[in-house]
Parts: sequence; C-alpha cells; structure tokens
Amino acid sequence: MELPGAQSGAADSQQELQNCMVRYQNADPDAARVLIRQLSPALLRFFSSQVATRSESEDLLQEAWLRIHKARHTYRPGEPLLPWIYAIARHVRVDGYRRRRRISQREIAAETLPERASDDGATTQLPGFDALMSCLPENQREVVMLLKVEGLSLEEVARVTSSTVGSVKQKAHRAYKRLRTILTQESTAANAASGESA
Amino acid sequence: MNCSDLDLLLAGPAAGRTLPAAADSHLRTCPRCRALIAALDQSIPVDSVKTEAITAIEQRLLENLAPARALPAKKLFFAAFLLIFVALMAVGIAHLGAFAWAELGLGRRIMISTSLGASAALLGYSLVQQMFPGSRHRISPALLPVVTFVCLTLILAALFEVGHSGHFIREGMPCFEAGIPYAIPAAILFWLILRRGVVLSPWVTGGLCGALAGLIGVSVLEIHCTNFDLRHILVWHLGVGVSGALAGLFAGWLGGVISRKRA
Repeated sequence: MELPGAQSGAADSQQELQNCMVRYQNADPDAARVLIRQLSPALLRFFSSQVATRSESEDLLQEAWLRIHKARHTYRPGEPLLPWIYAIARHVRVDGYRRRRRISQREIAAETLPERASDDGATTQLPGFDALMSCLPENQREVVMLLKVEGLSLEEVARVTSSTVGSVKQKAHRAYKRLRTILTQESTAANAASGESA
Repeated sequence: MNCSDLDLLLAGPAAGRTLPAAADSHLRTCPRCRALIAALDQSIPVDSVKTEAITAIEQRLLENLAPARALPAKKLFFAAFLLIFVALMAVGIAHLGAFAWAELGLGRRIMISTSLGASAALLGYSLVQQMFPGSRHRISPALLPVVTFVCLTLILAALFEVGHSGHFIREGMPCFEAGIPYAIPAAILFWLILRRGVVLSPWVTGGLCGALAGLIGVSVLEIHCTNFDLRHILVWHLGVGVSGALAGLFAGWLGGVISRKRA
C-alpha cells in the first residue's frame, strides 16, 4: 500500500522551477510564463480550499502573482522556491479572508460536516476530501492541505507557515486524530442507518 | 506501530512511498487508520486555470518586467542589525557612563553580557528571516520576544536580589526615560533595513523589531545604573525592552491595517 500525497515535489522539477525563478529575476519573460503556467493550478487549488467561489479564488490568484512579482527580489537563488511562493500566497489568502469577513460579516460554521455530494456516494462511503477538510480548524486544515495536496515536506510547510517543524508535526497529528474521530462517527452513523433500513 | 506512528509517516516526506510492513500490519488491525488512509487517498482534482486568467496575469506581470537584483546574503543584514545594536549601545554607554559595570563582579558581567548578546543575536536572526518569505525558523518568531524576556527575567532574578528601594517610582522613572531614547533611533534604523525585504507579518516583525530596539535600552541601563534592586531592574530596565516590543507590535499592526486599506 502507498502513502497518500501529491507527487509534485520531484527534485528535478523543483530545480527547474528555481532556475526559472532566477531567470524571471533577470527579466526573462519566458521564464515568467513557465512559472505562471506551472504554479497557477496548484495555487488556485490552495486558494479554493478556503474560499467559497471560484471567482474569488481567481482574484486571489491574480493578487498572489502581483505580490510575487513585487517581492521577487527577496528570493535567494539556491533556496527552495515553493515555500517562498506559498508563504506569499498564504498571506494573500489571509488578507483576502479578512477582507471578505469585513464585507460579509458572516460566520462559517466549520464544526458541521457539509452535505455530502451525491455523485461520490456511488463509489465510496467516505465523505469527500473537501468536506473532511472543512471539519478541521483553519491552522490544521492548512497544514494537511500543504502536506497532502501541495505535496510539501514538513520543513517546507514550517517555512510557509513561519513556524517550526515540531509545531507542524503537532498540527498534522491533531488533524489526523480529529479526522479519525469524524470518520468513525460517520461510519457508525452509516451502519446505524443501514441497520434501521434492514 | 500505533496510530501516532502512522501520523508521523503520513506527515513525513513519504508521499507516494510504499508503507513499511509494520504500518501494513497496523492497518490490518485498525479500522480507524484504514478509514483515514482511504479518505486521504481520494483523488483530488487539480483545478485548471482559465486561459484568460493566465493571459491576464502574464500581461500584468510582463508589461513592465525589469531585472530585480536579489537581496544580498542574509548574513549581511544580520551583521547590519548587530552593528546598529552595538553602535547605539556604545553611544549610550559613552553618554551615560558605565558605573554599574565597574561595581559588578566578573561572573555577573559575563552572565549579563552573554544573555543580552544571545538575545540580540536571536532577535536579529529572526528579524532577518522575516525579510525573506519562506525562511526557516528555529523558534517561532511570534513567540521569540516572549521567550527572550522570560529568559532574561529568570537570569536577572538569579543574579540580583530584592533590595530596599525607598522611592520605587521616583528612582525608576529616570532609568526608563534614559533607556527609551536609544530604542527609538534603533527602531527607525531597523525599519529602514527591513523595508528592503518583504514583510509578510507586520505585527510579528514589529514585535521583533521593537524588542531588539528596546534591548539596546536595557543593555545601556544594565551597564549604567547602579541600583541593583531586582524589582527596579525588572520593571524599569527590562520594562524598556518590553515596552519596545509592545510598541513595535502596535506599530506593525497599525501598518498592516493601513496597507490593507490602501490595497
């Protein structure tokens, strides 16, 4: 059995992106295009995990690239690129969240599991990944998303979140513990429902 | 292997790797972990970005694309922070005099200078890391000023005793007022350096910057003031550092609010 997780952190791909970043710093438009095209899908996914609508995610994506552009002089050649990119994206997301909260003044009920989408019930009894993630507190969800979806290592996640590796491990552990409890409750509820119907 | 060990495997750099035999046998006996692995193993669609969105981003970025020279090495900024620290401390000592230093024993001198030096180095290092997004942190930058001042309190409490100070406030205020003027120019100089980088967390950076600036005032007072009453040292000397950190925190928060409103 394989451990779940994204495979996007291949060393050669990272090296290629780092080279592109250095060329982007030197005003190479092709390198900028490569970076935008390669990293935008992952960044959009990163924003989508916290934002309700796609258009909001795309706005955040645009804003993130503008900030990356302004901050490009702070990237040090040889340093890992993805933590640098995600650290900036993370702050764009936090600012976006504050802005939305100010505007809407609505609270998101994160404690309740959203309705399961009808189309995923055919293949599995598990809640969807996004539904599961929405049950986690913000800081734990962020860590699991970065580890599982973006495929970053513990140290890279620590760099992105300006925390220590120990703190990231602790958050991941708490998140997995919480997910186990939720999954057990879901399974018990499903068993009870099937028993009643029988 | 138990559930916690599996959590470490899941969090570790093992994505896509085959599970070790011990984990496999644990999974056979633990339905909770099996459900967790299955849930995390669901395929997650990678959102495709609309071509128009990509084109819009490219146009905005490429319309005025100019070379951006990477910032110098982090150690240069670190050296600059420490140089400012030492220079302003030297000015303060030259201005106020090193009367306490002459009365303190060698052991106390070593302990005080080592703890203040280590605190300045840690705060300076963390401040440099704040300028570069995605930097590695050994200690959480949000906690570092707190940790620093708690450690300094403990060290000073071990070195000095509670004395009989007749006029706690009347004797203390001049010390506080003497320490603050060294923190203010330091904070301005630190801010000028910080502007060269990108400050993502203004309040954290403000707190670190204020703490380091305030530590200059603390150092000057430790070398100058001959009142060795522990209460006096903790409140009126260390208070300069704590006030600096709080002022920096507030300034950073305010700066963040203003920049968000502008955006």
